Amino acid sequence: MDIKIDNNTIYLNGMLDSSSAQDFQIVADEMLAGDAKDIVLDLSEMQYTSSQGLRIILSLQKGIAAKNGRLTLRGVQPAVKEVFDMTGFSSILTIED
Amino acid sequence: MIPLLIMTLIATIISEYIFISYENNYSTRVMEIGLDHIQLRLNCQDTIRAEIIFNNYIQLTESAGGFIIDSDGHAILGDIPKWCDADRFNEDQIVYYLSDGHRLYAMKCVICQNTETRLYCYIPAYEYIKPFLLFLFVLLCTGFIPIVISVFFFRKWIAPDLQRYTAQNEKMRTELQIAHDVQQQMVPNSGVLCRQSGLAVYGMLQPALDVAGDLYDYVFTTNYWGTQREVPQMYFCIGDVSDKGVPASLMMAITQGLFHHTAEMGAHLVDIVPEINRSLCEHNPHGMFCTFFAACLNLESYELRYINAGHNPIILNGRPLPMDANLPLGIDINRPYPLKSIQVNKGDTLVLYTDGITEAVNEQGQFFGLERLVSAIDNTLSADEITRRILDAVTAFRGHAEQNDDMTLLTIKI
Repeated sequence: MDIKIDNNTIYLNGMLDSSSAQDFQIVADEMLAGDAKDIVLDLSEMQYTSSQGLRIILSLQKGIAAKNGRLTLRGVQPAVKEVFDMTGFSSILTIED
Repeated sequence: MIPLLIMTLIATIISEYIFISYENNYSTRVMEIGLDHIQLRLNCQDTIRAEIIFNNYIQLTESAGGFIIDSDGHAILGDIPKWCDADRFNEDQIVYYLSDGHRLYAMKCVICQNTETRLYCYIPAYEYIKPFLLFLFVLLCTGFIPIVISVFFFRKWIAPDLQRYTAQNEKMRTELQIAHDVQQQMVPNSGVLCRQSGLAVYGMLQPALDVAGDLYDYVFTTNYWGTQREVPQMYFCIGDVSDKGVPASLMMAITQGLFHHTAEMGAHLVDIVPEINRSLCEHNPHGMFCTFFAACLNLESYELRYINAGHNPIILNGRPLPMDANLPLGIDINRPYPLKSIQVNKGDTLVLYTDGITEAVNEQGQFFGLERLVSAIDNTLSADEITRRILDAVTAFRGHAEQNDDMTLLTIKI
């Protein structure tokens, strides 16, 4: 998986599985430690997320909320959207169309 | 690599020096010459006596082999082995390298009244053992000493650490194996068909690592839900904790333990699920969560009541049961989990699974998927056969790719 950061946007490219989840965790922790309040997660190139990936997205959301910031998900692909819907994550995440 | 090269260089220089001084010893040895005998000191240990027969005729008496020839080069005594190479290395001494590996030394010497004779002495092989050893020494220095040094360093610094590490690793492996066994005991009858109250139940949990974050359970009990008397019920559940391995397995144990305990007491699902959710939310520093499906089947009316907390839809008679989206457990302590109810019938088949089945990946990176799972289910078969068929289909699909997630199946034949 390819992870890029541009200003306050994290771009995830590929499969967010158990092997790439740790890298994402590190990036997420760095973002939370930084000054950025509002963070955008660009998922337009992400085809899959495991439950580990979901957990990190959730912890990122919680961490940003604690700083009175906001996490926005952009370009969520249908397969990932399906997982968000099934797990009820759609109801607690801010997903842009 | 660099220390090895330096060692080789040093060893070569030292051995060259020793080798050359040894050769020179030969040329500087003085022969005692008398009228009737010659004594050659060839080496520190070796003395070869020679007797003068007459004039320039000399016979060696105590050498392993020796020849005296006169100044014209004619052999006086014995056969001279065929030599292969001659090397003049100083004015007074000639060395011949013989074909059998020995050397033949010739020295000018004055024996009888100004008669110049060359004394050829056939030096036996053991005389040359030392240079040969030196040669071995060079070889060993270049390879052996660095190895010895490495072994020394290894034993002194690395081996104790390695030993400690191996012991720790072994201990950890043993503990994980025990944890694996304990976990397999927590889920009921994994891989064993259970027949009770006219039902057949077959569960199977296959961890990707030593311990899993998946769980399933079933409990036969009775309760009073909405009735005036005790009615036989079967509680069952399946769950999947985010992540894998030990952290997930601890959460799995909490979930499994709470479910089993409360179900055995005949508690209502609307109490059980929020109770597990509360427990997971309160003791969850890493924000882990558990997708969870819990159900209670009335064994008289076959009404199936269930709560789904973000888990994959269960499959009833080969069709995924549409379910409302709801958050997994361990995220929001105040989340309501609504109870649903459907009517099932005798002979129906329920298949519960975790995403380790549908998201099994093959060598091409494709997912097994829900469609393949559904088509692998043959409702005419028994609960254990259905489960094994699904597992076989997943294994065949995966090919040589590794199992990437815990896989759990629970099949209930009503």
